[in-house]
Amino acid sequence: MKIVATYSIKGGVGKTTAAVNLAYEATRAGVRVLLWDLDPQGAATFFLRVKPTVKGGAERIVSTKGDLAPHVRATDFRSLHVVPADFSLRHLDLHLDDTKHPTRRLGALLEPLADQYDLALLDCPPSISLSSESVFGAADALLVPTMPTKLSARTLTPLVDFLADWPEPPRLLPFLSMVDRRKKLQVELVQSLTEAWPNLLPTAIPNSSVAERRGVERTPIAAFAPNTAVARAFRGLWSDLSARLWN
Amino acid sequence: MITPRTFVAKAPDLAGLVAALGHADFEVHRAERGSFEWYDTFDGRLHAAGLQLVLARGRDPELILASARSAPASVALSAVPKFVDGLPAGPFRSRLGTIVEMRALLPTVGWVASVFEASRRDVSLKVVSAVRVLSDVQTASGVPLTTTVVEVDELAGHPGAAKRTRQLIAASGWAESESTLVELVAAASGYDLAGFRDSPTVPLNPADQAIDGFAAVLQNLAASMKANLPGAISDIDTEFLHDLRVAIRRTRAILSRAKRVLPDETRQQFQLAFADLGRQTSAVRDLDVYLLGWDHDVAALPPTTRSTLDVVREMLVQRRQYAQEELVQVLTLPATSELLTSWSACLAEPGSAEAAGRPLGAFVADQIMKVERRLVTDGRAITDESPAAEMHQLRKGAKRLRYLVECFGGLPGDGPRQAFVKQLKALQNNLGVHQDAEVQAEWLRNVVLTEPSVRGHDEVLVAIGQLIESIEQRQRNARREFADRFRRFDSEVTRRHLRQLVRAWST
Repeated sequence: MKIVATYSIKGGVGKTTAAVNLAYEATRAGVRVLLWDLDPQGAATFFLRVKPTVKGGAERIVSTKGDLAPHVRATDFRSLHVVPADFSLRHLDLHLDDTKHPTRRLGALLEPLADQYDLALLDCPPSISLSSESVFGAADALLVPTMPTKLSARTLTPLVDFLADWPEPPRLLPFLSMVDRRKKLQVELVQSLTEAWPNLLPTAIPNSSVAERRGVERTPIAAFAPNTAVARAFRGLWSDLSARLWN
Repeated sequence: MITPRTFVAKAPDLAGLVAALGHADFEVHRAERGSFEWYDTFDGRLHAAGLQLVLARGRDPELILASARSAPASVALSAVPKFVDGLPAGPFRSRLGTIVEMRALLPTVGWVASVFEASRRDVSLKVVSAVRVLSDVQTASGVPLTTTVVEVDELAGHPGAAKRTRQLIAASGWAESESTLVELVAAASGYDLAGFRDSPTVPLNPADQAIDGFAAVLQNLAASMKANLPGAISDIDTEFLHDLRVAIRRTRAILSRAKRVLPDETRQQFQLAFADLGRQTSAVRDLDVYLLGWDHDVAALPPTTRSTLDVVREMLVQRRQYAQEELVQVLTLPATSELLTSWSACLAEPGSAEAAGRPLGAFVADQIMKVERRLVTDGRAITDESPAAEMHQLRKGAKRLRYLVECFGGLPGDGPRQAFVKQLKALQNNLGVHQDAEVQAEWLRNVVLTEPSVRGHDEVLVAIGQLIESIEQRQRNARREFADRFRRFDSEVTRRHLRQLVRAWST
C-alpha cells in the first residue's frame, strides 16, 4: 500500500478537492483506496456523503489500543472507503503527544490495512504540527497543491527545509492548483514555479466554477461533470501521480 | 467480510420482493440483461489465492478483481487480455501478476440473467444498503439455474442496514445459501473452480501391492499429460508444455524404478517412447526458459545494451515460433495420441513381474534409498574442475530422486518428506541455475557464430558478449554455492529425515 498525503501549510489551496477527486480517479484505474480525512472540518467526509462521526473520537483511534478498521466506511464508489473526520480531530496533536512514538503513530495505524488497500490518501488540515509530522512519518509522498500566487508559492520552501532534516522524508510532489490562465500574473507565476520546482507534476488543475458545485453535488467532479476541463485535469494529475508511485 | 451474502429461492415472488424493498425505502432500479464471465488460470491460481476476476458485460463493461478480504477493484475493459501484461500498469495488474505469473487468463464459468439493483440511502443520500436480484439465470453454456438469486452487499460501516436487508430478503421467501453466486454457477456448469490440480501425489497405502501403487502413480501422471497436451498444442501459455514435460519426466523416473514390478517389455517400450516424446519438446522449452528469464537476465546491463539486445530477443521469439510449429506437428501426430491411449490402456491392465506383489512401502523405500546413495556418491565426486556435463548428470539424478519422493508422496510421512525435499530442492535449484546458464551461454555463442543478421554488427556482438559474461557470472556463482548446497544435502540431518520417511512406510 502506498501512502500519499494531500498537504499544504496554507489553507484553501485545493487539498480536499484533490484528495476526493484523485481518490475517485484512482478507483477508476483499478486501485483500492482508503481516504483518511484528518481535517476536523471534515470536508472530504462531507463531499462523499459519509456521516462525520468517529466512535470514541480521535483519542480512541490514536490510543495504544486504537484500530482504524472499525472506523472505515464504504462510499457510493465500490473501491473507495473513508475513515471519516469529526470535530474531535482538532485535538489530534494532543492525543498523538500522549503516544509513545507520535511521528510513527499514523503509519502504525495504517499498517494492518496494507493488504486491503493499494493506496491510502490522507487529507490533512493546513498546519505544520505534530500531526503533520506523523503524516510525514507515514507517507511515501506529499502531494502539495500550490496556487500560482506569491503567498502559496512561498509555503513550499519552508516545507522543503523542514523535510531536509527528516529521516527518510516522503517525496515532495507539488502541483499547480486553481490556475486561472486568464490572469497575466498567474501565467507568469506558473512559468516561474515550473522553472523553480522541477518535480512539479505536469498537470495543473484549473480554477473552475464546476469545482464549486461539488458542495451541492457531494460527489467527485468526474462523477457529475466528466467532460469538463477540471475533471480531465484530475484524470491527468492521477496519471502523473500513478506513474510516480508505481512505475 | 466484503463478499456479498447470497440468497436463493426456487419459486420466487419477485413482485412481492420489489414491493417489500419499496416499502423499506429502497429505490428499485430497472431490470437489465447482464452477463458476467469469470476468469482464472488453468490451474486455478486466483481461486487458490481467494481472488475472483470477473468481466461484467453491459453498458459500461468492467473487469472486477474481488476478494473476501477487501473492497473489489475494477477497470473499464470490455475484453480480458490473454496475459496480465496486457492490463494497464498499476496495482490491479501487479496484484494479479504476482499470482498468475506467466499463465494465461482463461474464461471459466459465466452467466447471463435479468438483473435489477435496489439501494437504500440515508438522509445524506448515501447508499447504506444494496441488493442485486438475478432472475432467469443461465450459465454461459445455456444451463438454467433452478433458483433466483439475491445478493446483499456488505457495505463497510453499515452492518445494521445489511442485517435488516438480509432479514427482509429472508422474510420475502429467499433462503441464505452457503454458496456464492460463482459457486452456484460453477456447480450448474459442472466446473471445478479449483482448476486442474497438477499434483504428482495420489493416496497410497504402504501395504498395497507394488503394482497397484505404481499403476496409480503412473495413471495420475498420464492424466496430467492428457490434460496439458491440448494447451501445449494450442500454445495457450508456456506452463502447459512445462507441465506436460514434467509429467513425462516423472513417468520416466517412475518407470526406471519399476523393474520387476512392471513386465520388462512394457516398461522398456514406454520408457523409450516417453524419452523420445520428451526430447522432442526440449527445444521449445529451452527457448521458453530464455524468454521467461530475459528481463531478469538483461536487468543488470546498461539501458543502451538492453535496447541493443532487442534484436536477440526478437530472434528468440522467432526461433521459438518455428520450434513451436515443429512441436505441434509432433504432438498432433496420430502416434502421440496413440502413445497416450495405449499407455492408459496398459496401466488399466499392467500385467505383472516377480516383485509386483511386494508391499509398496518397502519396495519404494528400497528404490529411493538406492537413488539417494547414487546421488550422494556422484555428488561427492564433483570437484571444482568437474565439467558442466557432470553437474548436469548430477542434476538429473537429483530430479529423479525428487520425482520418486514426490510421486510416492501419498505414502505417510509428510513431516520428514517436506524436510528432505527442502534440501533436495535447494540442491536441484542450484544445479538448475548452473545448467540453464551453461545452455543459454552456449546458445548465445552459437548465435554469434551462425546468425547472419548479427555478424558484422559490432554493437550487437559487444552486447551479446556482455550478456554472456553476465550469464557466466551467474553460473560461477552457482558453482561456488554448490559445495554448500551439497553439504547440506549430504548431511546426517537430511539422511535422518529420509530414514524417518522410509521407516514410516515399513511400519
